[in-house]
Amino acid sequence: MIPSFFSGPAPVTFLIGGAGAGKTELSLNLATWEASRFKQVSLVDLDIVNPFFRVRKLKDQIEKLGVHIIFPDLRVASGDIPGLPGAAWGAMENLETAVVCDIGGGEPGLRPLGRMKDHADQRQANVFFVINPYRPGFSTVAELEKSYSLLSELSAMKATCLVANPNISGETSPEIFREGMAVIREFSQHKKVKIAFSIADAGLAEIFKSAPVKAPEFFDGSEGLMLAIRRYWDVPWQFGDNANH
Amino acid sequence: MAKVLMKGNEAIGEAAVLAGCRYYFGYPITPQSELPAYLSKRLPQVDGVFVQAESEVAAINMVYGAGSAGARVMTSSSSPGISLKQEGISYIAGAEVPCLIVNVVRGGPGLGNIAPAQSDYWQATRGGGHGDYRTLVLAPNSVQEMADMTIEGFELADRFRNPVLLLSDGVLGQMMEPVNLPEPRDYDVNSKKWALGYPGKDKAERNLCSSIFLDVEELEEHNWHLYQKYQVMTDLFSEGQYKDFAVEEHLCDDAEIILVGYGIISRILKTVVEKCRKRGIKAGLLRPKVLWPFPTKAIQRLADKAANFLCVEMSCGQMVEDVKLAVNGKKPVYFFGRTGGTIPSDFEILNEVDKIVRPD
Repeated sequence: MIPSFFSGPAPVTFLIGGAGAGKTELSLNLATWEASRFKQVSLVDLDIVNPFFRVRKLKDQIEKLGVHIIFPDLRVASGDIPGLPGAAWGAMENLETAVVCDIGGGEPGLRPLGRMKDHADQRQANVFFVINPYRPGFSTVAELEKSYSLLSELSAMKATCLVANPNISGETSPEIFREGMAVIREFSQHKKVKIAFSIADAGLAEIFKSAPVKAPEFFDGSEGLMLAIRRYWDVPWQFGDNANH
Repeated sequence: MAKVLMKGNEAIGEAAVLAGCRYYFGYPITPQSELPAYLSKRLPQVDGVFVQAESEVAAINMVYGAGSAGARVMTSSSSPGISLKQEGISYIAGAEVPCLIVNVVRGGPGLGNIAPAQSDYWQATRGGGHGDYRTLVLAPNSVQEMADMTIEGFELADRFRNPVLLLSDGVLGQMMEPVNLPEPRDYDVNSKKWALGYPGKDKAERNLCSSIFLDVEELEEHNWHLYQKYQVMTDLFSEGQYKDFAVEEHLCDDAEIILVGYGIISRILKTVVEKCRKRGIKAGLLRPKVLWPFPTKAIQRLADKAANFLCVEMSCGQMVEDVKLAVNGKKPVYFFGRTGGTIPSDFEILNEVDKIVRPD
């Protein structure tokens, strides 16, 4: 299924939110999902905050799946210099290219958005605010209210929807997921911002779908519209033969 | 309290607050900057003080001051920044002031890069500063332990009146794992009788914290006093109260080859041990959780039983020297390392084990 947010020939999506909300994992899954549906897909790494777990690190793996990765110049790609890739604007100007932009977490991460705003408005971009209520500062409706207001104030782009990502990594049970969803739903009603969809690891998603999933895949299950994802960031002791880390 | 999903750097910050730490002085550097960022928000909420100092040298001396006044205090940095702090650490050790110092190690030498490494082992365990002194060095291997060892670090620092160094690396600092935050500890800033401004019965005590001993006999006496304290610490960590805290052994009893590694490497080695066992190789893991005092005796005991040792590090080989000293020539000690920010895979370590155990 193709959710309404991704209608048209080349949707543009920005992912914002607190640090560690799951934006990068979502961006990788969303872009690879789009790759089999749209003509051209670019995934733009606008993360000026994170030093390690960035889209650019998985370039070869993701490009094999038909996604063009845009990130700062190779000479500074492995550093912590907050550079923005010029090619990002090229992708935004090409109306045939679907674009997913991964933004760094927290207040500093939002800074590149001002530079992209005009292009985002022209392309009527989705701006998804990703929430994991198991992260510090996002765990209650009151905390969410505070963090959301602060980040929205600093962000040049207004969130169009929420994306719910309640998880504690590999230890997420259906109960933990549901308890987290309850907090996000309450916040969504309180703030009157719709939840676009939720995210769950493939294994967990199968429980909510009551059927096998092939991540990345959207489906309507017991918890509403959900994107089943595969996890690209494995812990180092499970990297195994994937020795490029 | 339910588990939360935290970065290692954040977990240290929250655990410090729970330990009663109300003072942080530091300077940003990748890959530890989430820690000062976290505490810059968190400490004001608990009437604490966060100062981004003008330099690492300034920050460590502010730690010296706050620690002398009896406060639980910490600083953090990554490798080049820890090098800058060494003068202050030597002063703090000399004056016997408790504090917590966190090193989220990155690749060196020099500016190196921002990727994870374990190449500061020598600096941490030998003391990068001048003079006869030791720092207690703790080596967590998970986000949970980043939190737990932060709390324990403050307790140990107070008990021994000694700086405690938490030696982690970029991966541990940056990765996210579920954490059970420890229970908060009660800490009374006026509880240390030796501290400046300790409120005596009628008036404040006239205490002095200093590392200067101009008189030759006095300095010699002070140095032997420090030495005896380090001996007590060594005994407590090798045979006494902290014996089990200091080392983790996994499937060592019948092992023909002992894999030795600390921090993030020990998690990979655990996978290697499982894979070895499935292939019929009797491998075990010895993981020092405390790097100074080094678990020499635990290794000595195993040297009588196992046939080989393989030490794995994210360096060109530093801890391996301590392993060799402990094994003392009884059995061969091999080394495998990756550096520059590369994390060795279980696959390549398994190859090394094969070369040792099945040379044909």
